[in-house]
Amino acid sequence: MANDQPAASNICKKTRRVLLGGVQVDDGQHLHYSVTVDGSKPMFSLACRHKKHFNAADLGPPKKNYDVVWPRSSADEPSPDGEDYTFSMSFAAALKYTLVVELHDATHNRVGVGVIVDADYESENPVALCNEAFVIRTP
Amino acid sequence: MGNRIVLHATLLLAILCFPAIIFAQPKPNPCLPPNVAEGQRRLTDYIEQRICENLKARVVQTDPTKQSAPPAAAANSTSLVERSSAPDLLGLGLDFLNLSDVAGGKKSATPKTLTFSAYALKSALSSEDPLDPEIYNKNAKWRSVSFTVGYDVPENTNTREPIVGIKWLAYNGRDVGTSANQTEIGKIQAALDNSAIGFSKIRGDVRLYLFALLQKRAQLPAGVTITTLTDFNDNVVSDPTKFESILKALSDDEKKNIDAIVAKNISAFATLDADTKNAVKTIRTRPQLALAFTTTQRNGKRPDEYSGVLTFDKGMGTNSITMNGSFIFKKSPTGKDSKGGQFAAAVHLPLQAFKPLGYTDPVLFSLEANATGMTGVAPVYKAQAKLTIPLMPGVEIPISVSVANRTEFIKEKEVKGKFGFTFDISKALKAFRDGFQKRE
Repeated sequence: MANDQPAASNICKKTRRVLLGGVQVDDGQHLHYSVTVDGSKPMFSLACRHKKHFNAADLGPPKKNYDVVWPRSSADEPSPDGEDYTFSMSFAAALKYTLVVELHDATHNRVGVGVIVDADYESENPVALCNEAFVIRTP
Repeated sequence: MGNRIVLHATLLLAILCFPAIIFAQPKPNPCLPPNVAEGQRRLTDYIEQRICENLKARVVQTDPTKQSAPPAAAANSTSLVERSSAPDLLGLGLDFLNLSDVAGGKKSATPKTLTFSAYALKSALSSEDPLDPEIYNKNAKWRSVSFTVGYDVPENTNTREPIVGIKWLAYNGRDVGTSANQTEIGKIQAALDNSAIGFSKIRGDVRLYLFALLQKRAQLPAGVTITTLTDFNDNVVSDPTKFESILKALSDDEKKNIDAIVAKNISAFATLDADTKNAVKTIRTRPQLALAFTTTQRNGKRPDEYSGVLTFDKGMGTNSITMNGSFIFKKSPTGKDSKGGQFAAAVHLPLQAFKPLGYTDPVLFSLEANATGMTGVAPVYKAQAKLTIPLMPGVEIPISVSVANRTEFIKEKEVKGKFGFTFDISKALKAFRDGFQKRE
């Protein structure tokens, strides 16, 4: 199918191995974000509707592998119904991102649903839109 | 003479037909992820699609100065003007058909060159990942040097004559890692932060709108059950089958309500789009300066050629200009050496009307000219019009027509047509094909 050609899209190509619609993060738990990048200058951002939670610039000089612990306390306030969180990526100076989001306990072991996202995002279009989103519940 | 007319007619036909052939290809929906078809969308994909549809302006990537073609030093090159950089990893230049070559079908050899960067070589030898941003940025000096090896095939012969070259990108204003470009990068990151916030707002509002809407429905879409909001989030909108079922059940007005939610937050995406385009344009039009040395070792009584070339590139809006100044030395086996110089200039004009593959490099029209003066030989002037047609990322077909006074051999004007092929493996493999690092 012609649709297989990444060069013809204004949206990034998404290869989702795992994508859950939502996750509940309880006391003592955290989300562990692993981001792997191909390219020269990674630019990504995680945000809820109220604020940015982290971005590539916050995490130091460009590198291939980023590991970010997102504690439950990072949420603005308890949200039992859940809030949408979006991980946005720019392909202005990158070619591929691999995002893995896992639910961990305080000792950094996977718990509960385990993997929330495990996916690759690719584009050769510097202005391609590329977002992944899911709901985080923090009772 | 008759053969020449036929060949020129063939060239003209090729120039006219290629854009038509490319246009004839079926176009996918550019607002869907390339591997997600209509009917397989999740809520996130649908929102991206609606945002994309709302954003009319798209970036036009115009970096017309990257050279995969044989060096201009090769007599059969489809380029008269040497450009300032090489492909990031590996480039291959072939000249398939020299339309002025009377050897025609009897010709068994065609010119071929391979260009590779010192960085590609270093990465291969050290087993480092060349796509690691840290390694990439740490090795700017290695990325500034490239080598060309291959051979030229003189007209009307099957003789392969070796070409060896080295190029040093002495100044690269387009390297995204330089401090001068960090302001532009910072603008993209800031706009991306706001777009992520905007996306979360849109997704949250659309999700709640759909949940409220379906709760009121007497008859739910096929396969969809509505219980709790948590179940709706976790098991309905993230399931492509169920979500498509919901989309099919929406009325036009309900879809317009979703578009209204998107439109309310579209400014963040318009800003991201504009800031990214501006950053790409700003960085890509920065100047570059390169120094190259190339030698062609000729067979028989033909003189070996040595040339040193200083190249300057500067973008001007969507166009770019390239200028070369060369010193040429020809060492003849008969002892009659000659030396001289060459000045060349080219203007590259992307044909904005031609966007056969959307945001890939556009069809490029180049006007190139050079003047060469050598001791003991009357000056030679050449001019060339070239059309470079991108077939897919990294693969281009250059078609050129050139005229020359050709006073080095006979006192008559000469018209040549050429049809080539360039393959930039770094583009094709998506390696380093970011918007900025197209080092010229």
